[in-house]
Amino acid sequence: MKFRVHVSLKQGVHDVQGEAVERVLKRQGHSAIANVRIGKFIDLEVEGAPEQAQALAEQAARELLSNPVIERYWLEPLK
Amino acid sequence: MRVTVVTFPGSNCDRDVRHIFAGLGCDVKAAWHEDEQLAATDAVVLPGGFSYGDYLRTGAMAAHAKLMQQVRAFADKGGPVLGICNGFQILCEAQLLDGALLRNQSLQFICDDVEVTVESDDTPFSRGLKGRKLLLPIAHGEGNYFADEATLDKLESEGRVIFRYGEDNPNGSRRRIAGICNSKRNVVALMPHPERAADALLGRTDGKAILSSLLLGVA
Repeated sequence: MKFRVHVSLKQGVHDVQGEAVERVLKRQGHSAIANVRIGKFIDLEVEGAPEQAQALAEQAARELLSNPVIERYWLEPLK
Repeated sequence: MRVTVVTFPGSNCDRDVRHIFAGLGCDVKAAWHEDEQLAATDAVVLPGGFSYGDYLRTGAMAAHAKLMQQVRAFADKGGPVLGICNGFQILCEAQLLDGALLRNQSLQFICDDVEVTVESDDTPFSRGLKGRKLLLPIAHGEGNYFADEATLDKLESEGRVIFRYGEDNPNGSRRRIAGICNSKRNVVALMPHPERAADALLGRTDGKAILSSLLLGVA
């Protein structure tokens, strides 16, 4: 199965990069854009039965791909 | 005093750390991140650098190195562990220390000398240093210490903020935190580089006291 692990900063964690990007967007005249937050995604291919594959992807997301102190993740199954 | 300095792929301050501890008369060992066993030692140091190129998150992958299981066991038994810069990041990722190090507020990599105040002498790396102001070099892009308010309050109330920046907080760290310790006070880490301020040849020596503090703990 293929998964996309989405990782984003938790609410309340200061996104310094997001703020910098927002400043540049506003400087370009796009004053309607606000609250820019930057995340990332990691694509995985996992062998095995769907339930086990999902569990393994979740484990990878929890243990390595995201830092629970500052980030949250969610899994998106891919075609 | 046996001191083990761990090298991860991309660590680049390991040799400087070994050099200073050797100069202090310690029996210094170099350990490799893939080592299965941690040879008997009195202290472990995770040095600065760019382990795994800071890929994914700085310190994230080094935290899962084979040898880190042994380092964790050593720390759990009360062994002194010091994390410097990338070492601090690795210890946070390994959850041996609270919080996380984010990108500097300015988004710039900062290479500068900063004054840091030592707030506690109750750790293996700050004995006799309470109240001292040390001029130490920093060189980092992700030294912005973050933890939620409850954790920050806990760190403060338990006296676990060991090193603090002055008003000129260089990177936006919450509560101007430059270094902390764990609840058992045996795992200590800081973003500044004491090993780069420990040899008169380089012009600054305030960092030497942090490293030589380890020797003061010997009964």
